[in-house]
Amino acid sequence: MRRLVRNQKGQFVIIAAMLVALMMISLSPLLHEAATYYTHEPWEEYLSLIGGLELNSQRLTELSLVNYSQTGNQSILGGYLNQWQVDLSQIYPGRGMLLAYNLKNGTVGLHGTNIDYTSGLCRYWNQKSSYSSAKVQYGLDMASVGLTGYRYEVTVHLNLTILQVDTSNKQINVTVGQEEGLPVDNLGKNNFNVTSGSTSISITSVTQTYDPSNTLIYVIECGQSFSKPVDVIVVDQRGIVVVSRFS
Amino acid sequence: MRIIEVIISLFIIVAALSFTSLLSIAPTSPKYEATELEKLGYNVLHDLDEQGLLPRFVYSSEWQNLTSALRVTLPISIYFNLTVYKIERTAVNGAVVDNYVAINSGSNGLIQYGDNSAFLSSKDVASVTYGVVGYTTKISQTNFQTNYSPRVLVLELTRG
Repeated sequence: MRRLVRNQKGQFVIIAAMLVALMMISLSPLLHEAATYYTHEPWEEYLSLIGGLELNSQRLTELSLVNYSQTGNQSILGGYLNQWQVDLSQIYPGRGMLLAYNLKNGTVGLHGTNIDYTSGLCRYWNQKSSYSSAKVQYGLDMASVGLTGYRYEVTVHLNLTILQVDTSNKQINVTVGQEEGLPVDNLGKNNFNVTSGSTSISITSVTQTYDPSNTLIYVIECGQSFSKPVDVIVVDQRGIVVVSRFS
Repeated sequence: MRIIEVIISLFIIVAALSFTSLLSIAPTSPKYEATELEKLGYNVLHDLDEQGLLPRFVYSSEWQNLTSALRVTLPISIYFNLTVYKIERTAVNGAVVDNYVAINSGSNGLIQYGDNSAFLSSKDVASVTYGVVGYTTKISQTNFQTNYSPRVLVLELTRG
């Protein structure tokens, strides 16, 4: 050993340098992790703008469902989104803005109900429990700030269930729900219509009661006698229509 | 002398340094960074949009209410000037051309706060663009009409 040290070949200098290099390389991932843990991404500066785009996607899907539930126009959602895609790139020029969308097709479960979408839209009416629904998946790129492949999904839904029809007391109990699975609680007399066959039934009042199983029930008091089958039509504050039938 | 060993050692250290530098973070380019005024502009428009106030004010031409809402939401030291455009499409030689037409013109349509000269003299003027997609019109109790009619809001901000 002493002979090796006195040999003065300088190999220890190289070994020491290699050890230092090894240590630097071993520590670099750790340092990188620590330095980038709270790294500020450029697109985070534009979170409000991205939020605004999401909000407008939601609004456009809502507008389409309002139109579809009133007219049955199945191509409305695709048409609106095509226009919005083009307009978006012109509203935000130079941002590399690209909005992709995928209209849902096929069966999707929502709060225990299987909904069969065609071109992102579904209208399942004239049943005891009926609904109008829209579902779109969006993908957003904003190349100027390094945002690519930002995906989000928009679901707009309104369901109406007739719980009970009491022809002797001229009373109908219904529940109305929306996309989050929560009951809609801002409806009144003007939001409901009742028909029996081709006869429109006048509504005296609509009141809310709370029930442990259905949470919020609307009690529709009718001003005249009617017979089954009876149709209840609801139009929520957004303008989405659902028609349910109780036979 | 150990000159060769020292040179080899230096090569090893330099190689290790260049490898670790690959993992270092590049600083954020300033062109990506929104200024404080830009962030403020996007935030205020997004907040109003989220509350459903922005589409109502824009599509009902409630310019006075929109001015008040912006004045309430923005700090008092921030001057603003908002122009609302609609997109008009015209066919020119078979091609569709988009024209941006300002719809809040005239003295009643001005959406601004602060002195105009502040925008001309200040070096720090931010301009943010925000789009609103459309609206629903209630025709009767059960009949609603949907309108896809985008509006482009250009909000200029500066410090007073």
